[in-house]
Amino acid sequence: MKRFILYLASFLVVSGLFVQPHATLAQADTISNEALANLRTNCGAIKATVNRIHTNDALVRVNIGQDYNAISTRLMAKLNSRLSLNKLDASKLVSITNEFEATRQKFSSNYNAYDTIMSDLDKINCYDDPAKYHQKLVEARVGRQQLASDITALNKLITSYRDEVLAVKANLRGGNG
Amino acid sequence: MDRLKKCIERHRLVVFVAMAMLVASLLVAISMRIYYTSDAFRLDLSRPAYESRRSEINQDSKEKNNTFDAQGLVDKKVLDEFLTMYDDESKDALQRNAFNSEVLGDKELNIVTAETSVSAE
Repeated sequence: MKRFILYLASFLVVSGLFVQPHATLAQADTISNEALANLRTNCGAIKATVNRIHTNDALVRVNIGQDYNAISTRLMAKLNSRLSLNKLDASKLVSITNEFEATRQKFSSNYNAYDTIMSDLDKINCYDDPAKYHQKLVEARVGRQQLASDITALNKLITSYRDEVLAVKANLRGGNG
Repeated sequence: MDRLKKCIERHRLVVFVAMAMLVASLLVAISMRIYYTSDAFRLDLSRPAYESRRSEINQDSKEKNNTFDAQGLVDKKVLDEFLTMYDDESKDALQRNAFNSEVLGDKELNIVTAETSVSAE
């Protein structure tokens, strides 16, 4: 019996170590009663603002997608091909292009996940269930943060590619390679 | 079976219209499924909600000017031309402050005001 209590106590202590960080994380997303009351009172206005943001996001997604697509297919891929045909070392440029494509794919799938969260958010009635609405809102914020960091990564790769083209240019001897 | 054949022959037009409607419904169902499973609906700005915003879509007018030829010699002049196109094409993407996470903040949505506060803060 003593041994059983010892095992049980050990189990509780060890499981407590795993559970505690999650409880802390969950706590960070909790919302005060006053804020919940605010959410319920301003439900209509908040939903309208969130809908406007969602509509605007689709527009931004299309425009930014077109920009990245043009950079990748009309410029990066074509220069890489031309450098290879001229037997010039384009390995770094190809590597940056591949990374750019992978990040673009990641951005696209992250946007789809974010869009699903925003659609789900629209379906929740913030007057009847403000806590559930807020929880979804927190998820949407995380998704949006992910999109912002994807865009930062893509923009960094655009700059890196430019720098690498300048390096290739510096190695050229006047005329053709 | 004979009765069915006779019935179809007697009402040819009705059967033809019904079959055409059935095939059309099936094709619509298949295309709608592709539309949703391919996530195309997320980027479809022809939906009524986007009617007023359609003018803000980039018309991609730079396409003809900023197409780099994949074949030909490579020298410093060619790379300079490339960089001019590249800067022009990437300017918009680099300047855009897209998906700023603050717009969905509690304060921005008036969930938290000066009097109320989220326990995390």
